[in-house]
Amino acid sequence: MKVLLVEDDESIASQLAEALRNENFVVDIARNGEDGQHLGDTGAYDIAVLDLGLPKIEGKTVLKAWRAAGRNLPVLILTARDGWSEKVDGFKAGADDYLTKPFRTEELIMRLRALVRRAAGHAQTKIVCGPLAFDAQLGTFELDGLPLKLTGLEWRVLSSLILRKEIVVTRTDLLDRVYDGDAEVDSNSLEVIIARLRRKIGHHHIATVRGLGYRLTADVE
Amino acid sequence: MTWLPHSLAGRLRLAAIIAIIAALLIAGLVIAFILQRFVVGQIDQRLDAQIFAVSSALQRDGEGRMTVTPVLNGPPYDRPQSGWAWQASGPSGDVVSASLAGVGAVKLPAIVPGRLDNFLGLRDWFGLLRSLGRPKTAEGAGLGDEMRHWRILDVPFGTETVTIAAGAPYRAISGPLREALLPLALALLTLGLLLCGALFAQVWLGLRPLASLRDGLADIRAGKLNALPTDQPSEIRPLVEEVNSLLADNAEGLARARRHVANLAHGLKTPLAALSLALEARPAKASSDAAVTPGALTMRDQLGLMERLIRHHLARARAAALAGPTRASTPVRDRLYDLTGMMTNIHRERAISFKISVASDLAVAVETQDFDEIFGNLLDNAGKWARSRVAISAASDDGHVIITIEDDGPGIDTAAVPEAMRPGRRIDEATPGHGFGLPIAAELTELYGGHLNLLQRSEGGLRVEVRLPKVLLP
Repeated sequence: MKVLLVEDDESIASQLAEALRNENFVVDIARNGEDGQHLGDTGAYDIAVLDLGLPKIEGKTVLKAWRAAGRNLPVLILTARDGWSEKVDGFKAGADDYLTKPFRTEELIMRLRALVRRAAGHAQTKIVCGPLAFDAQLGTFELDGLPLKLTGLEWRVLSSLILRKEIVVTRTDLLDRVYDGDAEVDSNSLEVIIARLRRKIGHHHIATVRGLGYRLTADVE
Repeated sequence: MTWLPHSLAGRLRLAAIIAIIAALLIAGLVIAFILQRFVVGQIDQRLDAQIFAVSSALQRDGEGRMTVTPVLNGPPYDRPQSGWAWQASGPSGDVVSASLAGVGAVKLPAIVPGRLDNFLGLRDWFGLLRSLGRPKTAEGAGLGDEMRHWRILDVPFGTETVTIAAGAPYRAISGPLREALLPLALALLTLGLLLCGALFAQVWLGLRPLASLRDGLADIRAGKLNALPTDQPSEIRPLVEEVNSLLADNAEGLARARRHVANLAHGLKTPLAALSLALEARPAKASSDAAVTPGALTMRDQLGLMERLIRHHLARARAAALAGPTRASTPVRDRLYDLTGMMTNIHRERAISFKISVASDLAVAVETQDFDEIFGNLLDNAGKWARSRVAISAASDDGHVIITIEDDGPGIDTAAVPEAMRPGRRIDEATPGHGFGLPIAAELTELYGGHLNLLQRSEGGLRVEVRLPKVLLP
């Protein structure tokens, strides 16, 4: 799951990014509205966390611009402005959720996971694909009812696939969602991760679609 | 000056009434005096004519006695009851008018030396010249005779000096005087009444801008106006302008104070957020299930408490109602739709249905921001605690709108209501069924002169009734 964090307060941005990375999120940080809007327009994000009081471009303006351009990624507004009128305005501008500072990290993470799951079209917290089950709220995988141990990168790939189960996820999309914006990416490493996952959950559950990408499937061909 | 009336109008009226009465009294006295002189002058002329007639008619009869021939006893000197009389008396006998026939010559009263109408003594000198050889006046009654106004003249008669006197009864003066004075008094009274009427009208007209000023200020207090209208008389306009700039300064100061509070609160929140993040980051970094220290727990609780206190006082400081009643009008149904639209998003996971049955023409005299704060908190609580449904309805009674929010959650114990209304409670002290937004909702409602009521529904769940001042939509 890849998060765009648009937050101008350095201490909050770095602490929050670290907390999110600990929960296997991939985090890009934008420190002002202009960068945030640009990243949201061009990058592949599962969700954006948007502050309202931003330098250069106001958070609400950024959100409206995304929505006007047809960007429908879920957006959670994270702000010190806690008036209900401001919340109404935020939702009217196209926000999907609203959290006021100060906040509990667990709460933010829960909400982010719920938003991502819903945006992927899953009403239930548990997403099942064959023997594989993903608790989108807690972020845990089970295989045949037993907890599945995964590394951070494996978790990122598998969660991206299971949120789009039975749908082809392109290699670029996966690479985007697995690595931080500034990380050195070795294109072979994705194949390595896929191979490790196949060993853990069964070879046939991750189908390679030649020239496109991968697909998580319950079918056993 | 305690005897002065407290009202300006009263003072003006009192002063003017005193002045009018004094002026009318003086005018009355002067006119009466002039009238009296006029009447007396007329009578004097008549009496003097009689004296000169008698003087010319004085003769001696065969025995050397003094007679008047022809006898000058035309009316009114012919009848004793008329009161008019003349007499001529000298050493060689008396001759009297027919009216005095039974009485004989009257012993005349003393001549009035300087008369009352001798204004500033001018008449003395002026009159001295004129009165040489003219009759003099005497007032009074002879022995056993009625009061008369006499004119007396000494004339030579041969070698003797004869005193000729002609008298008119007082009623000959007082009668016409009374006849003239009655209409005069009536005229003066009418004049006085008209003047008083004009004066009252003038005071009313003159003080009317003050009354309209007072109405304007009342309207400002009631929130119907922002400033006093400046189309005022030139005497009042500077005052109005001063009051308006005072009001503007006041509003500006209030807005500035609010901005400061808001800046302070928002400024505090970011470091609070950073602090709370730092607090949570520690156990995560340590070995997987490191126990959270009691110190960290206390800090977290205190951070939560600080946040809620900031929220509470920020909402209060922002409340437009603090500036007094407003002209604000918030359409109830539309704004509830906005709020429940948001609540559906916030409580998406719990799939709570918010049902609104409110007439479209209801509006409350509450700033939208405060309306949001009241109902945002209440609906959020309802959304948190409801099992599946929240119903919102509104009824209007005279001057107020009662908005009712009902949920099918656990409700509230009546005994817990006062506690639920106390601001700054910690969240873990919260009784199920309501949250910490209640105190601010209740406080804002009361700032608008409304009332918030928490009730346990008989079928279970919480019922919140909010009574707010009503506005009629055009």
